[in-house]
Amino acid sequence: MTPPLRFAAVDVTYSSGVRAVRGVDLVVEAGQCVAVIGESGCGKTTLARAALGLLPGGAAVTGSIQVGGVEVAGARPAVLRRLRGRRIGLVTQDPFASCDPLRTVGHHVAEAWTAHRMRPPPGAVVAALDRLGIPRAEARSREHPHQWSGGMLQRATIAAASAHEPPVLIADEPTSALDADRAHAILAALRATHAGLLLISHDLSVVAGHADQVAVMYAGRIVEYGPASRVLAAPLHPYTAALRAAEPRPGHGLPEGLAGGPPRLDQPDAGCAFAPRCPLADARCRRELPLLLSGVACHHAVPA
Amino acid sequence: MRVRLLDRAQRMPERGVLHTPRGRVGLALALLVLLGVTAGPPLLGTDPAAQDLSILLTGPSGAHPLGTDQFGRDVLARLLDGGRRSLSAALVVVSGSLLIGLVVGATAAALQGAGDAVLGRVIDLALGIPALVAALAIVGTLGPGLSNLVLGLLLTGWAAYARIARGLAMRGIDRLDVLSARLAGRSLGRSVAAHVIPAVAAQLVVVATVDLGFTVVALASLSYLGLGVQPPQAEWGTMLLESQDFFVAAPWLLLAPAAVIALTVAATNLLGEALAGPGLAGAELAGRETAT
Amino acid sequence: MLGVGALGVAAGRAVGQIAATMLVASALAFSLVPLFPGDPAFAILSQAVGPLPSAEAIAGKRAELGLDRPLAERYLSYLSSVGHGDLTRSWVSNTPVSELFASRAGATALLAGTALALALATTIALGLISAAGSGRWPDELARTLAIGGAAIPPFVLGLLCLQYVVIKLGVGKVVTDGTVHTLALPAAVLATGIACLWIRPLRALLLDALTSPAVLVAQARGASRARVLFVHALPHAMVGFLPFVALGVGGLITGALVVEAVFSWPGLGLLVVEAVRRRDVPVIQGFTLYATFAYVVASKGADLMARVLDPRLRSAGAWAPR
Repeated sequence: MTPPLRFAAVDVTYSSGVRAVRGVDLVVEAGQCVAVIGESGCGKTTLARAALGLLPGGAAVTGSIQVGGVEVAGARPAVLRRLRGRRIGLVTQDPFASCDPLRTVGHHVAEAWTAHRMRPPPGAVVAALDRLGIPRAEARSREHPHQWSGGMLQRATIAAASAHEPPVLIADEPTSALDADRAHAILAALRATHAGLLLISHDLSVVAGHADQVAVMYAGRIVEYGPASRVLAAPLHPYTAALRAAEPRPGHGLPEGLAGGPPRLDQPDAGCAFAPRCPLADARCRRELPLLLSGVACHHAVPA
Repeated sequence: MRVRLLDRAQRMPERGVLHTPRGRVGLALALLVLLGVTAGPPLLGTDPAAQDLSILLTGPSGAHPLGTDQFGRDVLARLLDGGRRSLSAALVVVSGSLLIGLVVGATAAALQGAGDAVLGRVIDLALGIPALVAALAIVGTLGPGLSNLVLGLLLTGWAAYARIARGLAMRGIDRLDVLSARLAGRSLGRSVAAHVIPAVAAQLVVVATVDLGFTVVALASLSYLGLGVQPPQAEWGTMLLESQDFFVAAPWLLLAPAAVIALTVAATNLLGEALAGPGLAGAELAGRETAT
Repeated sequence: MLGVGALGVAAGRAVGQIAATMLVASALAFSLVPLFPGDPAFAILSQAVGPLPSAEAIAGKRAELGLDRPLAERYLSYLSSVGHGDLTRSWVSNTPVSELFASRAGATALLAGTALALALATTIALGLISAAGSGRWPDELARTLAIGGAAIPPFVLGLLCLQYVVIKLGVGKVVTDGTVHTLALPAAVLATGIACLWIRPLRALLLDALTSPAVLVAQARGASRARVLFVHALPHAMVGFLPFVALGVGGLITGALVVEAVFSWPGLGLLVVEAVRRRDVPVIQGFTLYATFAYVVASKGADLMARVLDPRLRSAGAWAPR
């Protein structure tokens, strides 16, 4: 079965020289939720954009990105446009920023069809909103985004993204702009679409609650990968352990921040990128890049 | 951790002028005009008012690099002399507007509350009257002449600077640095003076750079209409006016001042753009009448 | 609906501000007569009658014009005449200023209106080309044109056109007649001045809109570049562009003055320029009022239009600070 989304040996380099993604292999199977976590700048958003073919001009992609078996890297604009919205959908972080404030929410959802120069079938917009639990969808769809709450607007965005039932959805920090209690509801809504889900998030509790697999990224590479339950409960990579420790948890006192600064992405690899900040780093770490083996890329793979 | 007073985009511009090719060109042109106008006349040694009726309307030559006009006067000398007049008048207008605008705007921001409301209203009202209209009104009443022109342009010219200054100052005052100075006991006025004003002034200078070009054009156009400098005094606008009757015989009479005006405006635009950096630099000129 | 109520309040405020500005403008206009460095009665009579009017004639004229009454009284009576549409009489021709204006307004409206439309069309076209092909040669060309055009002031451009196009090439007439037949060149010159100032802000606004999350999402839904440009980016950019349109109207008012002078276009601008040359203060007063009115209405109109177009601003209670 062709997976709805597959990255193979993907490298993304921006025109500024920054290599944001380095040698990433990742697969999202049908109906599966794969979460990508990591601090800002680790390459998660770049991955998402690359899958949609929406990287800024001048960005170079090597490797293969396949959406339902169709190659996206280097594809022609017409090919990409056919895929977007129909075989792959996008939900972004801030619903107020992604909805056109000058137009109604109904227009925003109808965009799923009008973008492809089709008219939405009568009642389709209202039905889509209904499916996501928006009360009085008919009347509310005529309102403007600023009249909706963040949580509801994000549901509308999900409605738009999943209107054509694409086999895979990319959700880039879908809950970061919302209150914590809404977060789980949004994830539930996303999973209810039954699409494969590439979930980009830094909210570990959300990831723990809903993801099947977790990939941890650092400096453009995947440093750990495995079932969500295992990776978050018993991390093998020191960075994952640090991420977990940095999360506030009730009863565990103040979280410990990660020492050191973010890695530089415009330089070629010189050993493990995490070495400068890693408590376990030694000479080998600084010299030799650890490969992803058995779900972890570390010379000292130890349980936390 | 020290908090920056104005965010990055508003700080004193680093010498970015020399970083872009545009900025370098602008700077070079500006220096050319400036040097020409200040050092030119003494170097040239020719009297701009000296008439020589034996060499009327001659083309460019060794003795007269830009030819002579209908009275046998050297065009280049008149150009430089006129330029000095135009530029110094424009400088007076722009720096006067900047200073008044800075004071009014910063005061409005510092006063806050009712004082700010009143001053803000005054600024808005002054902005409502187009600059050239006020200038025309003054010149039309008091009579033509460069000083009346300058007065007229100053009458409403300060308002645009005041608005920008007020906005920037309000943002500056909100910052932690100033609040902490106040907590330490200094009065708001001194805090504003010490911290906010220099930064705001720097931004205003950027606006003033482009404004200088527009002001030169405004002065030239009003002089062209016969409302500014009066003949036989040289000024770029009056030279354009006088050139019209002799265009067929002596096109350089029109082209020379036209070229210099264009050069000056291009220089100030490029310089201003380079100083302002990326973003809606044009937006900062909102309020300053687009002069003809 | 709640939105309409807030809009009404905003409109009311705008009217109030227009009134306040006109009051200040009227004070400025009024003050021109007391400021006049001479005796208005003398000026009028020496124009009408002869170089040396008699003392009685002057005194009589002064009484007629009420020049010896207290300033405050004169100001109030001026205000009330203006309110009734009476802008006093020209010192040179003794015709009511309002009549003079009425006879010339049409020509200026034609010129300014055409120039405005031309400038808008050109700016939008070039702005779109620039933003769509950002960084590539059409963009660089458009930006260089904008700077180049802005560097050549309209009146210089007008002069050059007049000399080269009209006189040398024989296209068009040297003295225009204020109708559509000779409209092309003056309107084009006036439009160029405005458009050159507009292109870069519109381009920046368009680029801003093109990099917004809303556009990213639209593209993610499958929208083509063209659709994104026209359906999403342009409307957004236009809303942000409104303040510049208001400025452009201001530029038109003053630009028309000079362009009319260069091309001898028989409009209000030329009328005012002649009035200034002849120190015909009432005409200058009338022009001050009319020009300020046009400018401030355009400004407030643009503000209100932004409110109408952007639903977010409609419900906002407080007037957005400038």
